[in-house]
Amino acid sequence: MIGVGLCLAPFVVLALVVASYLSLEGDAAVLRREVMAATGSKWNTKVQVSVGRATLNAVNFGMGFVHDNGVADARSALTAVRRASVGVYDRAAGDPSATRETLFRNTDQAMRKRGWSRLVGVVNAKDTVLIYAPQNMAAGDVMEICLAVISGKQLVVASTQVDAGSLAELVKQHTLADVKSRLRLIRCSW
Amino acid sequence: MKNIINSSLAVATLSLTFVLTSFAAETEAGFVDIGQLLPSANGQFVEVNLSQGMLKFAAKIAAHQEPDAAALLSSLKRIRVNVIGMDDSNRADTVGKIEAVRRKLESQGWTQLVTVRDKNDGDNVDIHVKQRGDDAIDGLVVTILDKKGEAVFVNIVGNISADQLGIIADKFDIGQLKHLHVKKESVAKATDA
Repeated sequence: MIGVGLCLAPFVVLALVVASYLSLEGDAAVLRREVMAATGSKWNTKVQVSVGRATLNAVNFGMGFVHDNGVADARSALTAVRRASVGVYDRAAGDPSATRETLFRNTDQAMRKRGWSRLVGVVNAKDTVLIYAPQNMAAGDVMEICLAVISGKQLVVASTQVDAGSLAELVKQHTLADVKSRLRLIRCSW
Repeated sequence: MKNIINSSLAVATLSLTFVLTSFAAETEAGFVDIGQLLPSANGQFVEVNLSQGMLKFAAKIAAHQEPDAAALLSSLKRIRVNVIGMDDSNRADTVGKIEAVRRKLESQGWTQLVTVRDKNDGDNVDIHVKQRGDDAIDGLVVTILDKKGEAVFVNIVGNISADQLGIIADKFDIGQLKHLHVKKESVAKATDA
């Protein structure tokens, strides 16, 4: 019996590892659930993947052997990200014009229970963007965010932990005009 | 009996902590709570809430490119920005909240720096500041109701100097604030004194 268990153990561990790679981490899963429920639509999973620091470091190491112009940016991005969990879903059925008030209220409430507060909420004719950060975020070098983006018939949910120093280096490498236009929070034409 | 008393004291202490924490946010000089603004059925809605932790994180990123902006971000405590497209579903509620905030600011002694009532363009703009002495402000509130059916609310809280007010005007593209002359303590005056 013990022998059978020992033989099966590696397969079980392998299955758990694969499952962890192909599912969303806890907070992102809650965000996904609330957004999907609020939209009142049926969603099909296109892709779900979660990677930690070890995997990202391994990929970064492997990319060091690739000689391409675009690799440097990719490696900088990988250095900035400590972990990431991403899910992409397609709307299969349901009314795309979900009640915005319900979406904001229910999602905010669910995320608040898990210690997140909404950082950014943007809604226009086609897109909805919700970004959450920890409520008691310390002024450190690491930032966690959880976000959901609905664009037409597609939903993307992600959570990540990024390093400020590495992210700053990545930002520094891009054009100043591009950074300014993306960091500007509001443009009031008065 | 002793356990009941200890439990009651623990609950009372915890409750008091929660109340004091929430009260502290509201009483932070320069902070204005407009409450929850709701999106309309079809119009645009933008809401940004940046806490001190997030601002310091942004300051680290901005330090490489824009040191002045980074210094400003480090001195700020929070930023809230709302841009709301209004229609029949949320107009009354949104306009009511904007006007209530304006009345509250005036009753609490905030200085009204800018007032624009343009009958032709239909723009309706107020800028209030919470002054601390002659050279610094604790908070800035911009409220706008414009002809396109949009309402804007901006609250910036922090230790903001007169020089930094210009940076805020530039970064947020607040035209009226860019042309405002704020009393500054000149280095020459201090030197002469």
